Amino acid sequence: MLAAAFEVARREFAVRVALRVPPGGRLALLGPSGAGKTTTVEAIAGLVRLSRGEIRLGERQLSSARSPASDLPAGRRGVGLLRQNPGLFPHLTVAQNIGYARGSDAARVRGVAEQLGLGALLEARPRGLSGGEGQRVSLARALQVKVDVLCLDEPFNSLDAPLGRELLDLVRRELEDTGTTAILVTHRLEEAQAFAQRLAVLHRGEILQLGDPRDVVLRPASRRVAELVGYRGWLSSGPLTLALHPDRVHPVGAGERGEISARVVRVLPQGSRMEWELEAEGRWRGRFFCTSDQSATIGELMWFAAPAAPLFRTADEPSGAPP
Amino acid sequence: MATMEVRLVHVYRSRCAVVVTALVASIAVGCGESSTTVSSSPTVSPSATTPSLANVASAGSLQLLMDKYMGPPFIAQTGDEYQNQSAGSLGLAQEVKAGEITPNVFIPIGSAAMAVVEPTFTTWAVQFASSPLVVAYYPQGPNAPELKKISEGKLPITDLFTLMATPGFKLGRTDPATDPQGQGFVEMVGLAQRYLGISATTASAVLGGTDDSSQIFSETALEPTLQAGELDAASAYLPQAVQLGLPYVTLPNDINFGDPSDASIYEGAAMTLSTGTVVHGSLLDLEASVLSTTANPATPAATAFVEFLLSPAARSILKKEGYTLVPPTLLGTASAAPQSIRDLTSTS
Amino acid sequence: MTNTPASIKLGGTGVRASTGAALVGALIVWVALLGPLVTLLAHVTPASVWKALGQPGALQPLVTSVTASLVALAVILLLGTPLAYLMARGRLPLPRVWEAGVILPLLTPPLVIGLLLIFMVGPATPIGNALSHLNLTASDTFFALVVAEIYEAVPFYVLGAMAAFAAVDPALEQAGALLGDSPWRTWRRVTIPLAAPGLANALAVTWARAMGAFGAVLIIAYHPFGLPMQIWVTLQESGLASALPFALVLLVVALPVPIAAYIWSARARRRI
Repeated sequence: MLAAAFEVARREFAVRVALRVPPGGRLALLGPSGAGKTTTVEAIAGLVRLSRGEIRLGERQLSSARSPASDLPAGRRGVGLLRQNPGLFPHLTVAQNIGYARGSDAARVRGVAEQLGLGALLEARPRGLSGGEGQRVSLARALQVKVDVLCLDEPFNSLDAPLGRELLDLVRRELEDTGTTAILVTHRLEEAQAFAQRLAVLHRGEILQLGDPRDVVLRPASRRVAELVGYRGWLSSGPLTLALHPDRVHPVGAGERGEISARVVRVLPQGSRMEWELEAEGRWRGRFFCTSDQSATIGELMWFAAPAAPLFRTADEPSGAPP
Repeated sequence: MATMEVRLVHVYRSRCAVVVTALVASIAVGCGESSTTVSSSPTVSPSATTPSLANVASAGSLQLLMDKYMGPPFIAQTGDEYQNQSAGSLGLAQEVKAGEITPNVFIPIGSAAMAVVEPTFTTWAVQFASSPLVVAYYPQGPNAPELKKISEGKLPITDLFTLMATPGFKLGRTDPATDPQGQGFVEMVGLAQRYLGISATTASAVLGGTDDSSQIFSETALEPTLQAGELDAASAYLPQAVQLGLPYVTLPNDINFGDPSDASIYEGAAMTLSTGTVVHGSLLDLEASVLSTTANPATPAATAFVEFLLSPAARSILKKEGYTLVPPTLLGTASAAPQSIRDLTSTS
Repeated sequence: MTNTPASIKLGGTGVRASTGAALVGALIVWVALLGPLVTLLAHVTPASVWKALGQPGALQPLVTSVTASLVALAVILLLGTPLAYLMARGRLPLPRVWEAGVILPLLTPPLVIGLLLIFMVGPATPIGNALSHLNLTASDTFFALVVAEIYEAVPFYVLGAMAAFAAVDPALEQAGALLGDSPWRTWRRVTIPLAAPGLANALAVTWARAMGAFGAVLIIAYHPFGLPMQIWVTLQESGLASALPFALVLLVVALPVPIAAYIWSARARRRI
């Protein structure tokens, strides 16, 4: 069980985090850039000193603000870290990179390389590799070390989406096989949902909500969380504000009753679907978005339903606190 | 690959990358050219109507004397330009010979250095003073009290050599191969054997025995090392010791290479250099000459400067600074010297 | 992981003219720098070099120079490398003070360094006294020669090594640590191999400087003669013609190390 409750001072704000991940569990840290996600996993990996609190892995104390001299050094904590920049050693071949850690032998190196489709690149140098190949080498290298917790800091961010998904899936399967605990840092909700069993939403160094990924999306605890998990429509009616998610609002079908009356302002293609931008009038007023398979006419007035859309008090702070 | 150091005209210079510095120096120094020939006038007077340059190369120990006491009055009196560089006499002579520097006045110590530039650059020289050797010492050293007593005559001079021969006594001197003072010091110890009855073992011990290299310093380094207290005593010219304010022990005239009347005794001293050459001692005299070649003819200021050195004003300065005055004597081909200078001398 | 960019063609006579001007300027500087060497070669014949070296004891300064420079280089390497690394990683408090300390010997004329060394490590000083207990004297000895060379050359090494270490991405060192390496192991397997080309260049310059050290050497280590002193003394003894062959010997002996270092460094860089 990874138990972390700590604070790390940073330039603009302090990162204050408390989380627990059970053995074999997978947690996703979701948030915008600058929220402190990287700082969190760097602290867990032992690259950053704590200003308050401690991090424990089972019985072992990894870091403590009270006695920083006894902090376990990075690499000796049973925590691995995979980063966005693969950090491959340019003066070593791919095989030497993968086999860098102590205790790895040629057979294991070849095995992991084959598994990740790197068999043909073993004698190449990092300089000639593509982005995807580089990250795969980095992953293979990290997997050579037996760790209790693997942290992934948006490692597949710079790859195109399908490749990133494929690699993340591969990692998840590997982690399931070995029963390794994992923490994934991402700003993409789909990645978080595909990978993790629990989701923590981070904003300006604070965890705003921690729970089941689907739960967090359906029942965001505050307006800020709602923003961060993809709600892009805010309709207010007096003291109440309705949060609308583009995927969870639809034009009423036959026999359905809708509460929102809105006019189409713009229609934009969104992958294989369309996204409508709408201006609500009547009881609920504001702008929102709706994904649909069909196109719509600009200016058309329609009724919409948003089942179970979260309601917030208009006067509350975005973080959910009363003013 | 060697160090390149800026050649400051008024500071002891050290330079190593010979060619480039030499080029720079010749360009800088060769500016004082003039097409007029040597003028002859019976008295020291302002030279020809246009001021010209006296480009002086003098022995290292004469630096202060030239720059502080000779140059300024000369400029004031004649209106000419004056420039001086000082370094080891033999080294300077070699540079003149090789054409690396082109001074028009040369004032070395010792005739050996003057001989290097004869006959190409000049055939005469006027000897006007001498610079006796002394042993300067560090006033706060453990041996200072005894050395003081010797210098005051309270202890015999032979005690100086016994003291210098003691193991652990740190004596410093310059390189005999390149510096007349260094050569003179070694010969002085030889003369001390002959005239003061110093034993051969003592003499050998004074000079450091078989491994004498730790006694040898460059001219630039010797005095600072003594002044820092790193040496107990060092060879020096009397005027040097006076200028630096160092206490010193005077040596008897027959061994100090500074008395013109003992010149024949000095010539009897000899030493073998590391190159194998045997050299004989000679008076540590100050000689001056005007250098002239068809490529770099002498300027009127050059002659005027030598005349100035022989003037009563200059001679009283020399005496005050500790030099032994020698009646100006022409050496070499006397007839080649300008009339104005011949008039100021008595041929030897 | 980037592909080498294809050469970009910049249009316009403006660019071409300025490139041309830059080339001409570069050529002038290069020719000027080689001037002394060409002059030296023009004035020295192989026969004169042979004759100069054939004289008894003429090879000793060569041996002395090389030995002293090797010792100086070893000391500089051992003591200067940790300093350069700590400075490059910003792990020393008051970094500007440390930098100033490294640069100061560079700004001080070697002659002055020599004079100050008398007051610092001369036999009568406290440090000199302590050294004498180890049978070492810093005046007119081989030890003094090494000390003088170190003082003249060490800033070059530290500054060059600093740049070499600073060019190694700290993220790579972190990667090594995360994979379980001790700091020493990371240093050995990641930092040093990646900094090696820059370190080699720094060593090349340092070697050249140590071999050619003269100003401080003249003051505290007149003896034993290294090649620079040999040139100086020969010049005064026997004139320019006799001294120049030794200058050529100095060049010939000192050059191979820097050239080899630069070639190796360039090749190592291409591999990374």
